[in-house]
Amino acid sequence: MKKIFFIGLKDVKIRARDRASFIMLLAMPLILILVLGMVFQPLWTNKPFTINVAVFNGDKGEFSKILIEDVFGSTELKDMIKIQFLKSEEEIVKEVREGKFAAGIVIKKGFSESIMKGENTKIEVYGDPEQTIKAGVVKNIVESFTLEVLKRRIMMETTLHFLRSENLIQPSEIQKLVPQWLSEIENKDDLVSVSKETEKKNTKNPLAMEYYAVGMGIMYLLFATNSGAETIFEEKRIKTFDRIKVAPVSEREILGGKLFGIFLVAFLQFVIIIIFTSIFYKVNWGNSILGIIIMVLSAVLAFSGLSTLLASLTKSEEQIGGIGPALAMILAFLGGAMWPVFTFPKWMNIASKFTPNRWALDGFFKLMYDGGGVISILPYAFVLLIMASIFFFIGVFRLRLKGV
Amino acid sequence: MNIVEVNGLTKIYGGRKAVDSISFEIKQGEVFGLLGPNGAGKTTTISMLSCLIRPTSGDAFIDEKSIIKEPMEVKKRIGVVPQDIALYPTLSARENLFFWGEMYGMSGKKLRKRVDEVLQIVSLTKRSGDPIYKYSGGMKRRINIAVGLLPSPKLLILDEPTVGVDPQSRRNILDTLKELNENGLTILYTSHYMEEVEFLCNRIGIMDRGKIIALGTKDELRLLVGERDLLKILTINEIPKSLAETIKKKAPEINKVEIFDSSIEILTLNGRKILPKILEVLLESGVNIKSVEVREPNLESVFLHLTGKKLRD
Repeated sequence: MKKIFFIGLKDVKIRARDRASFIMLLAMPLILILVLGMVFQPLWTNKPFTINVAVFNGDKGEFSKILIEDVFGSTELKDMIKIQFLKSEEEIVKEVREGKFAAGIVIKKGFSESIMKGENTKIEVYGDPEQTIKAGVVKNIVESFTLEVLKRRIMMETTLHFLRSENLIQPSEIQKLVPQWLSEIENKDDLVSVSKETEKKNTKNPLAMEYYAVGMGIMYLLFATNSGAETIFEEKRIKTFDRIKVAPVSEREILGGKLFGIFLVAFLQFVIIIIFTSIFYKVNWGNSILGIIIMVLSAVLAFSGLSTLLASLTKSEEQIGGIGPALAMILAFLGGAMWPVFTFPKWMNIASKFTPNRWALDGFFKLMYDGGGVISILPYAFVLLIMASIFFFIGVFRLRLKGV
Repeated sequence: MNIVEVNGLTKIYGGRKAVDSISFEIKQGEVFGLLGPNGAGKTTTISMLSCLIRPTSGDAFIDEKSIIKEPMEVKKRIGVVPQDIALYPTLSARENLFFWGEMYGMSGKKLRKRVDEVLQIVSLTKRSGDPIYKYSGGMKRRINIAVGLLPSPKLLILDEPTVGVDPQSRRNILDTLKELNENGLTILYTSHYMEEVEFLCNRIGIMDRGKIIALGTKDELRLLVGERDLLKILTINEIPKSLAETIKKKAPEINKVEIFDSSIEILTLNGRKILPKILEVLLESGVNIKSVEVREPNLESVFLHLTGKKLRD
């Protein structure tokens, strides 16, 4: 095990000394993030994308009306969110699953009444996994609304409890006062302010800088892992590979060390990009540190596996150096690193699901825009790890056949 | 006591025998040389002995460990200096040595101490912090050797370790190896430089076309040629190949005549005595002579005698 670690560490040391690698693996992505972020930001802010939302309102009460008409219909949101009413929860689930709507909201019968009575109730939001950012925006708005309603209900209950316990109010008066208070609480001006607050403080619109920090960060992972895979051929060329083989090091340790080196270079590169963009570009990578770590590890593993596979299919540094960047660009475009996948035609959207970039991007966006935690990114991490396993399995098998 | 025993070692590549059933032993504390031209099978032999490639048949034992059955044990007992400079150019000499030491399972103080020792042996302590790419060819060669010495091996295997270095560095390397051997290190040394093998080795195996065609001490090998001398005559103009027959007729005691473009090599008894006859033939044929040299029998003449060709052909 120690020898695996030493081989990997040596590869990192060599990469760190190589000025060309430094420029390619760190300076380039950071410059690209900055340039793309600044160039495309006006497009992202001036022309906010439309979010199609399906709603099933089984309630018809005051609170659901406020959510739909006053919150989603507010000046700030009405241009962005287009609501269409459907007839049932099943229909909502079906249409969202088919990708016709970015999100679906189900307000069940008696929702408003339950709030009035102080009973527990809920609104269900379904999100299209292919439109993570959009679904995240809708989910944030609904969460902010329900939080606001909850706050006011608690205030009202506390007030009533106090008035009753101090005998400042008679039970008969409560019947008259509650509707009056509720009416005040439901004052439209106030509730419009809820929606304004929602948009300004809690709903996170994607920024170009953030989008490209994730997109380019992931795209350059393949550059990093490819540069690591190239060292397999480089070591053969400079004969250090043969020298390791005549030392008391097993074949598994040699291969393990090389793969560890590939992983380590990419991992460090991605971590540096995350820290740098957080500090200098003010990119918010989400609040779940564990979630970020899981996503980084699974993405790096997937791309390390892909580069291992690439190394097993190529014959020289020149080949991998030629094919690698082209593959990285294609996967990045297809995976949504250049432009959001929801703008793609359907066939490209389906094709993008076969790229690790897509799953890595969606996982990070879940953390960044959807306020998701560890649980929310597990499906994305799982798919990336499955991809990593397949790539590594085939790659290692072929490399061993080639005598690496 | 034999530290190396090679029994019928054979390596076949695509039907061609690169090494053809060779057998020899190396005694503890001796320097054994494998001498032969490029392509003779020296590197393939060394690659098999250092467990880099598997023999097609036969076996070899290093310190009683089989290269086929116990390769890991063999690797722990040998230090290998390959023909190529197998070092990481952007790492310093010290960093390279630390890495290779770690590959031999060394660590901590023991490794630090050994790195200092081998740097001292190859006289590169002062420059040990410089990256390898800044080193001259000779310095790189010395670090290449230092890596081989790092694990304090029972057998040091060197494959043409002086290729491409200047005469001064070559001398330095050979002196270092001689000193290491005097301190008890067993060495297996391959080269196509006859002078190096003559200077360094106690026993020599001469290889050609995958086979060991002669084996013994320097004196034993010289006896194979008898008391013959090697006459080397350099000429200004080209020598007609047909002159070989004329020379042989003029001096029947000549064993072998080799004519190259502007030089001629003759293996004969009493070289000095027959030299005038040869010069006469050459002058009569219009060949202008540049220099004449009479050499006593050496490994070059042994090789010429055994194969009919020069070591560096």
